Amino acid sequence: MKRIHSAFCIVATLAAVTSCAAEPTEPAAAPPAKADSEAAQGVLSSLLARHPGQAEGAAYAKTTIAGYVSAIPREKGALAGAEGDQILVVKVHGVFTATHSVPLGVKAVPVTDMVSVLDLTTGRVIENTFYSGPQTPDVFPEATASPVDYDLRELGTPIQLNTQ
Amino acid sequence: MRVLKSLSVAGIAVLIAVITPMASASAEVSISCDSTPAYPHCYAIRTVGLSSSAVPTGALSSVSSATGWVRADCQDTTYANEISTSEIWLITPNHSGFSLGSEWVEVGITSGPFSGTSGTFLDFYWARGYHVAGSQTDYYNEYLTTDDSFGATLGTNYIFSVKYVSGSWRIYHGTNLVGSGTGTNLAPGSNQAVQSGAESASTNTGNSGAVSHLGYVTNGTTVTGLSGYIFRSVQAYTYSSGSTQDLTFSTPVTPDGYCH
Repeated sequence: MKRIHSAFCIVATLAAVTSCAAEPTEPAAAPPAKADSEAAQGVLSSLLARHPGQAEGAAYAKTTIAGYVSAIPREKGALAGAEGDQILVVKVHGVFTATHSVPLGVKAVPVTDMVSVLDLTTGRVIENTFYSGPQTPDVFPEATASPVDYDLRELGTPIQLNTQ
Repeated sequence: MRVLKSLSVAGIAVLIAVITPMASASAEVSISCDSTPAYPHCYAIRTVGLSSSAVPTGALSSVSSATGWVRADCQDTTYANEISTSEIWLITPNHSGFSLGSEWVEVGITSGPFSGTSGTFLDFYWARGYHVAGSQTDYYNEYLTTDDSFGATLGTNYIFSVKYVSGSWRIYHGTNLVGSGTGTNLAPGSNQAVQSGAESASTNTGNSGAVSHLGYVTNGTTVTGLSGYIFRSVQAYTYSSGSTQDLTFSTPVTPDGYCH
């Protein structure tokens, strides 16, 4: 309930309403796009802070865990959270140095693409994925590469993020 | 001249035989933190199925399960972009086209990667490195376990397992299934290995804890303990080990004092 209240207050603030007294009695609607963009931008910042390199472009899409697993079947059973949880899937393309865990004697994967999944219900990142791929039209609208793994277009409408 | 050359070769062979650690219980191999290409990966781990140069020997096959108790006594959460872990790695057979050494599944306790918007915690996590056939691409996925609830408690033993069940690799916390995925790592086969202990992607972060009660299942037979080499990055970790089943590790210096 506290989370619902907070979400409503954010909505109210964005609408220049000065009071949060009149709370909705129905479950809160999806967070506003601005809040989503700010959250996605924060996830992107964390990814870039952890992995030194040069970002060329980034975007995110909003879906549910169920929608994500449907689009990426190999994630089935992997994710912490309920199927109905709203998530932001943040994707960035560039050239990065991987810092993820590896067994001794094994090289880290080459990384040009990083995908991070933020569960909006818990406020926690529940997955990070690193791999190499071409510039893709889900992050770069002018690109034509296909097929696209972790395709944001299969999850929702990709929204561009600032990589600076 | 030919005699001298033969003697030299023989001498070198004897010297190598003397200085090369034998693959017996508790044989230690001192290693440096791997700083290529940019970030160090430091280890204090028990192993089985690895040569002294950390390459699968081929002696371990059809490993369908690895398990152990994992404990974190200190893991810095100060630097969210620098992981430190206490965990178990199970090396899985390689897909054709995989070029990074070995594919794997891992589970344990980590600091850093999952802070999101809610702060920084010690988290239960699992991960996998693998090759998707036909894509020519290698992947690394890391996940919070499905039972993670804002993290681990310091000084507590947690029982983790990686098991191959009904066609997929699955992650267990105790008896609870806490992660799985399909179409990624191959089924048990050849050139497998097991590692367990500590990893840090920085020499700045504190990281102390233990792994114990280690074991694995190979060809349907349960084996207790990891009786291969102990690898230790000497500039990062001290360790003690009382048997083939445990390893207690500690970073000797934590510059920010966070873990003391």
